[in-house]
Amino acid sequence: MRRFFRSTAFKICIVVVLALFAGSLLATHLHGNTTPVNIVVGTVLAPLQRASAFVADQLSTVRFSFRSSAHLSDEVERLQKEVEDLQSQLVDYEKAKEKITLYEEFLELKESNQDYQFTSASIVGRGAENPSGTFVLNRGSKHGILVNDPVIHGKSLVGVVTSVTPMTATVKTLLNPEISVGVYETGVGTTGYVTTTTELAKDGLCRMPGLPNNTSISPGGTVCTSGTSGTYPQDLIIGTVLRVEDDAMDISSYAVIEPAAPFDKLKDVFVITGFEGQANRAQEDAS
Amino acid sequence: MTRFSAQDIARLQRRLCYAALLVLLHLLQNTPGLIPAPFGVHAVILIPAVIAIGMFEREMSGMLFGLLAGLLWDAMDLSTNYHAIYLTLIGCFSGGLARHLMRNNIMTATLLNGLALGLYSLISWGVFVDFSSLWAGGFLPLLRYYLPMFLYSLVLSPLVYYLVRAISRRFPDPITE
Repeated sequence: MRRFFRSTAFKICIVVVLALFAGSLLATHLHGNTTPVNIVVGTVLAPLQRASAFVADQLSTVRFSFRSSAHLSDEVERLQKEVEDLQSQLVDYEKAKEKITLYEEFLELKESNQDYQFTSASIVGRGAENPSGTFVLNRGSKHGILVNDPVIHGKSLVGVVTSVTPMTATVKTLLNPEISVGVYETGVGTTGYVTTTTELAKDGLCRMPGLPNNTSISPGGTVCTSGTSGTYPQDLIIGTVLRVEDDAMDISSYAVIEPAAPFDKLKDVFVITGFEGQANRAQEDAS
Repeated sequence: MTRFSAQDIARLQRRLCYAALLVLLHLLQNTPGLIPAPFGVHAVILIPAVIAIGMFEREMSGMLFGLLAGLLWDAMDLSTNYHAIYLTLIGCFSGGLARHLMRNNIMTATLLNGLALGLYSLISWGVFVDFSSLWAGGFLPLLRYYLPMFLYSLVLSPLVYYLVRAISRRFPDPITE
């Protein structure tokens, strides 16, 4: 080994190492820790480095890629969390979209009926025997709601307030056999009233009985409130005629109506606390 | 006019292949995803390559190829000539040891790789570790990263040796035979 330490190659090696060391000290002071040689070599190799990075990217899409399982499982966890966040945002977005649609219809109704006064409310409970027939709202007399106030969803009639407490109100809907509403069919102008039966309410339908057996009402017609009773404003949408059938009890006919309000999905409604021509509203101190 | 002999041409071809091999190994080592990295442990394959070339080509060529490999590594790593100095020294020493002290075979190559990789791991651990926290900043990186890196690189080093030997046999030089 003594011959090695005395050889020319070793001496040159020491000179080169010292030169590299001096260059690194100089680079630290002058070039911000990068030597000119590094810059040149880096520039020359840049195309090759880009090519190898491209190959590595392509390999990462192959199922048996060479990335470690720890890296992959971290990435899976991160992506799962991202998916959960996006799903939560999507739910919020859908809720917001529903609210916007509802408020748009409400605004249209308000603009065409300047005399209406409204209170917004949310459904916080449903009747056990007939979930679509009875609701409980989270607003009561403290918010201006009284018995016999109509309840709407957009431009559609939902039902009527039948009892109130200071903080809640009970609503019976069109799918409750106890409720009947004065209506007219917009196509032919036939008047009558809408109610329901237990059998029809199970299917989410109501009926307009007492029609003559040669009635001109046909499927597809729209039925709206007539406003004659004073409880409901005129021209609130009840629903669409599905079919006309003969009544089994007498010689009259009745129209089966599909309500416009989505009773199964209702969450937010408006209560009309005042309108021109309103009658039958319970006095506050009487309720 | 100087005419190149067949041996000179073979030597030139051999050394060009070594240079290309070093560039390829540099890209494989320093591009994430090209070599398997189990549990985040990376292999250092330029050190075995320089040692193998030094053993086949002796001190001067070993030193120069070590310098080339070190500069390539520093250009990617942006460290100031740290790898150039280290690989220049081990390239020269491996050539000197192969000429004066030991035979050139897979066993001696593995022994030299173990020493060089071990020293590199220890220096890297000593320089870059935070000793203010003895376990988390000190021994944990050694056990979690540097020791596995040393073992993984040592396992791959015979493959690199056989690649260099294949090039050497493809373009034989009378000095090494």
